[in-house]
Amino acid sequence: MKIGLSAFLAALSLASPAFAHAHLDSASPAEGAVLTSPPEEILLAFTENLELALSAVTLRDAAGEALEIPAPAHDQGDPRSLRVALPDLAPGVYRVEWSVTSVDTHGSQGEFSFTLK
Amino acid sequence: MSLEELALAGLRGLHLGGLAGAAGAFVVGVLAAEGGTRARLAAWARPLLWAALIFGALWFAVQAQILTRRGWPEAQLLMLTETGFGRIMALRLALTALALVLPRGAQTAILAAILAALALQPLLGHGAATPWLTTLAGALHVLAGALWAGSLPWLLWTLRRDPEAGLKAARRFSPLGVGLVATLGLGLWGLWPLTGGIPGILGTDYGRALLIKAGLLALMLACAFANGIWLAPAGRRRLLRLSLCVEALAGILVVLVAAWLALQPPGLHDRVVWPFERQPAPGLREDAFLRDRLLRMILPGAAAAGLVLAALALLRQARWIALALLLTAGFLLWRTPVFPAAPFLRPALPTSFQTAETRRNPASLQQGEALYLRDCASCHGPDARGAGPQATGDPVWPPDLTAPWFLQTRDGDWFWRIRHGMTSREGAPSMPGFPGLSDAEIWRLVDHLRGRASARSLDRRGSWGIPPQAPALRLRCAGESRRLDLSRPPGGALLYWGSGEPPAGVLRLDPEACGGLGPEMRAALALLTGGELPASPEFLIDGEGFLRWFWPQRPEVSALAGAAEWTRANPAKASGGHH
Repeated sequence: MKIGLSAFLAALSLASPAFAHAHLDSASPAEGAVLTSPPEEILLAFTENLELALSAVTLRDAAGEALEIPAPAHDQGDPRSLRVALPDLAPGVYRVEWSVTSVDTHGSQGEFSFTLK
Repeated sequence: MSLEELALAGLRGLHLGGLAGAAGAFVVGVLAAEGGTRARLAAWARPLLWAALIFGALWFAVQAQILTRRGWPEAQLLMLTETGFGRIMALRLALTALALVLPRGAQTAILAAILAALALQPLLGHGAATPWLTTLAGALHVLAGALWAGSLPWLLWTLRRDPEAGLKAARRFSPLGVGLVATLGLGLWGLWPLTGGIPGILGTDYGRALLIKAGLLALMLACAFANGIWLAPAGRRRLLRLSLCVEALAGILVVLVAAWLALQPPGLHDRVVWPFERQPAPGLREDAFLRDRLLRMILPGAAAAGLVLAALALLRQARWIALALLLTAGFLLWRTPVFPAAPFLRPALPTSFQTAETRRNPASLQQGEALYLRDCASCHGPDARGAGPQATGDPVWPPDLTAPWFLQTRDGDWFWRIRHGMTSREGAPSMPGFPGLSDAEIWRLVDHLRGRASARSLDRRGSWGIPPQAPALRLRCAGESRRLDLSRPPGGALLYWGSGEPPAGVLRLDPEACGGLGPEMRAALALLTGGELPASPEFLIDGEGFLRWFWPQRPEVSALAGAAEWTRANPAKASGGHH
């Protein structure tokens, strides 16, 4: 019964959702920014309140390797934001990949890059 | 429609339908006021409540699986303990279970539990992310719609089983129906912002589904109208049954469409693809002359429609009054002026109502400038005034992109022209397209040009005629518990970036305490002021995040107070669909 239910639910989840809801309103570092000093954090602001448990941020270096960073948290309790404290970054190009679910259960994802000189 | 959308919409619709049907059974039982019928209807409500419980649990399980991409039951536990959806769903299922375990005689308490469960509906969809007033409007909308659609099958059932009790219930249902329609209307009014207005309704899947739902509702209203004023009072049982059948079927379809709608991004957030070759002229609302002409055409038409409806309602009771109303409506239509449509409409493009997703920020303005200098300056000139080195070789002289007319054109129109190019009236190419630019790059170009056009409107006193949106900049200021964004003043207050004494009601940000502007923001502000930025520039930003006043150095106290007062009295208007 349990296996059957799991299979049924897994089959339903095969198709990727085409929903788009919480849009990225602003980001720091900004998309395409060229920085001269290492950023202390990634700060993302969205257009809707987010479910923190269903939201993730990944930081990749120029080789595409995911860096070890802490799980995102709301910035100062702002439910529309995600904040990730960063370790010391070496100069290079970095890609930020985000995936969020807004409180109305719609998921969205995106990515952008910034450069540290 | 994908498999998961179909499954979610189906489970959601069946769950909602079960609750609505159970609520309707109790309501019709009360209206029929006949002991046997009432008891039978209450008995019918139980399997519907069971169905609502089972389909609700399945909906929750599938939704959890899709959102978390984890295994069973980890996904469901995570949703239940960590998300608002999980908590609201648990409460709703608990209320449904409560309605099942309450003593069968406690019908009022059972109905109250069902209605409370129904009222939670908005919090399981778009209403979870809207202001509380919109969510409340959504709850009223769901309650009224569910009671209306849920009662119809039972009115039909009662009419078949006991025609006398059925007729009595149908007659009593009419005034209740009027109340439900009024509540439905109130809910619609509250939910209107979610639709994205006319562009959202005509240019998105969500909007088109809303139109189908509105058509079904109109059919239900027409049936209810006929039932209430004619079929039920006249005792025309067969026709009443047919009308109720059509109304009930439309009601079921409305519930299914509503369940699908809840899964779609609302028109407000979706990408609008404008389907027509014309669009309402930008600034139509602000143009008093055009607004007056439009109202002189619309108001008599609306009044005539109201008179026709009133005449139809009075047709049986007061035939002469109905005739007089119809004649008045005809006279109104005859006397209504018809003005040429041209000033109200402009040519439209599929992207006309699209806007950039990400807000203006210092980096995006710089990137827009780099793109402009690379791809546009050779014709339009480095200052965008239309005198680039290649301008003389162009088929059409490049226009001045800092002129006010640029600001009166929608961002989405510029987006299309940059990507696909432009042609002259004769059909010859007048500007090449840039299909190699990404969406984000084109939006940055448009935003950069808007910034330049705003800069040109800055007068000698330091006031922008066409205020630019302040670039997003998050600041950590000493003494402030929260991080502040220059483009989103907290609580809609006026923001003064400077060292002087702020007038009452103006929030001052001390440049020193906030760590200064930084080189990127200084470059962005230099663009928006149209020149070199002094060492310590000071600004006034309004509650909507528009830059309103600029001073090269600290202004006099009286000048600052005057600027704040003027800004409050003259709110800025977004141009080009900017937000």
